Amino acid sequence: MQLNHTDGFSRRLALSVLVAIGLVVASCGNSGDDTADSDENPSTTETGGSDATGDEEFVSIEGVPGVTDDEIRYAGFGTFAESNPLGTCVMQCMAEGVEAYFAYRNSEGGVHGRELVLDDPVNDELTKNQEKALEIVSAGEHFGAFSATQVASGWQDITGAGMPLYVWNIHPVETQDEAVFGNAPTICIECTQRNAVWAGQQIGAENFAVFGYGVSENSKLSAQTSRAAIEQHADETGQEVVVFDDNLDFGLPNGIAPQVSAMVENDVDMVLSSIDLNGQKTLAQEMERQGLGDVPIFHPNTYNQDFVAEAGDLFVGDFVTVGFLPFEAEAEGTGQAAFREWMGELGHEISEVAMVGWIVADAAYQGLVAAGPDFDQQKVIDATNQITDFTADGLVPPIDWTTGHTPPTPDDRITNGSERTCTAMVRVNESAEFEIYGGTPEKPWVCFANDDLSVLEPEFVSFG
Amino acid sequence: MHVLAASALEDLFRAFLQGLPPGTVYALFALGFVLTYKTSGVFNLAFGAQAYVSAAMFFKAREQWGWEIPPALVLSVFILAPLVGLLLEGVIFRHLRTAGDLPKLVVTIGLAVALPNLFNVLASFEPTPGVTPAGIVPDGATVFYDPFGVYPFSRDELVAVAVAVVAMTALAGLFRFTAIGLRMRAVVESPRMTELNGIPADRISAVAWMLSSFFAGIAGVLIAPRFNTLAPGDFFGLMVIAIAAASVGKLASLPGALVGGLGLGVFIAEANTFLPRWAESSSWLEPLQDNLTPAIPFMVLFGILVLVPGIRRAKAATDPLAGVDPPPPSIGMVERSRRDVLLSRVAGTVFVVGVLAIVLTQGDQVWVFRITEAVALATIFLSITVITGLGGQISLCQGAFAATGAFAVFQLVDRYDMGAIPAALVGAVIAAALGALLSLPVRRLGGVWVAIATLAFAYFFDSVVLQLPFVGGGDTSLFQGTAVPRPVVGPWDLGSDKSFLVFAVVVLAIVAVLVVNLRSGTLGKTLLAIRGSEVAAQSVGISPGRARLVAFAVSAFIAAIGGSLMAMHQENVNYGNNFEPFLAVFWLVLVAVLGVRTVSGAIQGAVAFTLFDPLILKGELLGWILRSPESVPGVFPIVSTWVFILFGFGAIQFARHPQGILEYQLHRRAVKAAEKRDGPGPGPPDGSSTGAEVDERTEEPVG
Repeated sequence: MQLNHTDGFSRRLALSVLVAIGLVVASCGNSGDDTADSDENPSTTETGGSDATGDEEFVSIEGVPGVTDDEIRYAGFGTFAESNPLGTCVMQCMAEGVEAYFAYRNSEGGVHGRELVLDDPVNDELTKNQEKALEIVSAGEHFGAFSATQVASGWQDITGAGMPLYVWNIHPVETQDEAVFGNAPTICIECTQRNAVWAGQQIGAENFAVFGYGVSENSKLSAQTSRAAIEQHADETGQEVVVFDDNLDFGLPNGIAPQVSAMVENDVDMVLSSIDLNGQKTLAQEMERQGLGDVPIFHPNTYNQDFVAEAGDLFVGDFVTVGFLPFEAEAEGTGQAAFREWMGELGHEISEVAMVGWIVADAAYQGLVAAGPDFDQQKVIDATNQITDFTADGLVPPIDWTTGHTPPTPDDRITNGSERTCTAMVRVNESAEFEIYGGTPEKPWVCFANDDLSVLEPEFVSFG
Repeated sequence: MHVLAASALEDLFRAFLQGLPPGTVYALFALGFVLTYKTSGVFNLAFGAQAYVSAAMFFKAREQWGWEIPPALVLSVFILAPLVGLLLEGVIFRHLRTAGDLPKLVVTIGLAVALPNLFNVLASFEPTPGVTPAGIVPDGATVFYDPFGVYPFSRDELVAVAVAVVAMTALAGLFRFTAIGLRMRAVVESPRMTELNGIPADRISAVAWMLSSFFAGIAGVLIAPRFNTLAPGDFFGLMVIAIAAASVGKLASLPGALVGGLGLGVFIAEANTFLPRWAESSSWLEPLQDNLTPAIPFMVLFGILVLVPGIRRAKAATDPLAGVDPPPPSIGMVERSRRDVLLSRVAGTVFVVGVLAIVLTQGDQVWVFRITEAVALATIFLSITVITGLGGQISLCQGAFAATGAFAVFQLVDRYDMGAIPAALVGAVIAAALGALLSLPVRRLGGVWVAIATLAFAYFFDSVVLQLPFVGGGDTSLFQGTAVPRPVVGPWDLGSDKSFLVFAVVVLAIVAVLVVNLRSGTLGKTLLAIRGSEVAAQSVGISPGRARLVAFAVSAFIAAIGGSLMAMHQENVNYGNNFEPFLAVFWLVLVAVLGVRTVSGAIQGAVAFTLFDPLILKGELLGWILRSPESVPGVFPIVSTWVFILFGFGAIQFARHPQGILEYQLHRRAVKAAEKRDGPGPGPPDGSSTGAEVDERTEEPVG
């Protein structure tokens, strides 16, 4: 039941979402393919499209929910903006991305002679995800479902009914289900990351402050792994964590003045914070107040142009990691061109979560194509889990779905991960706009090899 | 050495300054809280909601309508806020003036739920991400002044500090030196005596409510810039902290509230400044550093409630002329015949069994889910029946007890591979011990203070206890979630939804029988005796403390059983969905509205919580009646928010009918039946009661 009165409630929910976003982006922004490099486009998933839409023999299918001779119908359920304590657009934006993708594919003839259809998404009102999932299951009218939600309590009911589920991956436990496909594979929460260390090295930062919320294990652990990453490379970089607090109160109701004062005293020159958007803004405001406005913050989850622009020059100079091909990158030759075209065609506003919708809709499509014309739900799930290099046409680092549901470990990031860990990175310029950092618009991905975790030298690549 | 000392002093002073802005926020709320209490005698838990309404109105006018500051301020603070106060007084509190503290408290809890939701619906207001609410002065967040060269304050913060100090001074002057201030206090003390002196109590009371609501409005607008997204829950959480500040002044002293608020802010800032340094050299301080900051307000509140004797004696003002009213008709005098009681119980049982049979044979997964949820929730609600219905204590931490049961199952199964049912029983025992422990310090407090202490405990549980790995799961919950298995009972595997529903109904029936027996047994009679007259009860050898301890323990035990049922049903603890503090506050509202003293009230409260939205608001029932979902009028589906608005405002009925709407209806029918049989009695024909006798009622419920 939705309770618009939030507090502990919204705290935990908002936090689990936003910090998890950060974790997804920061810790697995994502795994690179074994063979992919800057000159290769490992988009094998694209090849099935024409076969599935044109020349193949039409197979009439009986008894598969949501499938008729004309269409393949999907459900959508998740948190709407009006039910989200933070007010951010979640499920509706994801649905817009899915609708745009489906329109794009349908314009080419659909798949297996059928159109792809997304029913109007349902609001889970923050706390009714399980009930809404059961409503979808009980109706038996859908082949699969899409979900972007704050609380994924109903995902297991969807997959338990044999339906494939395509999601905004901010729930690392739930995506371990073989039938759940996110915009990123299951992440390694406790793995240290090198992107922040490297970014700090680039700007000559040596004294770091690291922050996380005490109320969230996600945020806390993220702060701890950030500190561990700095310490791991300290000999080479000379970097040190001089201010550390992983017990901040959610929402910073008491402000963060004492911690920023400690930053002033310790000459901090870069901040790594695993906190939510509003918390980042409070932190930036306090830093501005105490004369640290020029010290950059490394954000895991602030890739939101409107939010950054609204904050004026608060975030200028800050780093932001992005889990998909950033909008500032070269779109030509990637799925982003079609994304932009079809979002415009449908009159939808481009957003981060819409891009997520587009990416997972492509996963749904590629799974159908791979399953062949005589498909059913299990065949699509199985076929998707055989795809080894899903990139959504260059929008995300290659995902190997044969291992993508099992998180890598800190010591072995290759077996269930990949040879490289890649993250796109942008920086806020003087006009409060994002621009690609590290790489180039053509090769925006910053990738670190996983066979030697001590190596701090990234490779800049493109997957388009 | 001198350098070090000087540095420490500078840090001390800087932390002092840094604590002032958040401290001012607490102080503003605390002042408003004291103001409301002094001028209306109401322990107003809706103060945060009133503040939110003005803050949201100001935000909407400024950001969405593009108004300038002055008209936006006039609308939100000078017009809307007093209007809200006037309406609250005229429609609700004027009729509750002589009611006891507890009914008023429940009404304010209902308002705390209903008001922000009503505003959001009527004004189509939603949180706007990224847009920080602006203050009431231009460039309030971006222009800074550094009077001591140590820490700069923003314009917004300086304005807030100035308003807090001026308000404290002006309000203190108002009460001390003006006739209107004196009259406000007099009306709170005795409206009848005030009226006998020719003072229009209604008008004075209306002015008092407008004044306190105006102050809520100005406080809301002033503190809004501290939130980067406006959310009602933040205001409610803030209010809990403000109560801690207000309690420093025993709810009566405006300077005390100001000092309490500022002191809390400063204390937290000092702790955040020095604890990390000390913890570096003294590792034993680390756990303290980890948990102290979020716990400080609740520890302060709890400490004051428990350790300051004066606050325990701070009883609500009682009207010395209250006795001039004729005694309210005691509906307890109306007895239903054994045949009627038996018939209604049989009918109820047949209805429940019938519904169960239909759901088990015809219901789809959704209906099995909803009914099971209602059953688990009803079990939790029965804990409210025990502690509030029987014990007369308002406990706002039943969610924490329920969560204790749920987490116990998760932990014991995960760590020790224990069966889910033994784990649930262990969890219930732990919760009972926790309840008994909690009752020790609060058992001597008055009703309202028990409510506040338990609310503080609920937030303490939420922000501190839950973070302990052996409670919330720590890394385990992060890596594996908080999955809870369905139990196996002998040869029966309750893994399927329908078999678990049967199990849940059996558990509910057992708990219901336990509650009925408690009510008619020694404990029930003891608690009734204490509610009737604590002194008289003591004179016959009853120990109120012991009885309340048992009531708390039993109530916590039942809540934990219900919590573990809920977790097993959803196969996950889902703390945020099921047990967070404010949600648990709403439980009380639901049960209080429908029937806090009966098993049927708890069950129907749970049914309402679970089914009102899909059946009524989403139009499923209408669709079924019309035999076609397509025929349902376009007004459906109605947003779920209306559940909170309707039941929140429904709490107003608690003051008039403290037995709950359902029991009241039963009584009314019984009264009519008795009149038919024996002729008209002396009371009003509808059998209604005033809130005045809430705490004195001793009659037996019928359900």
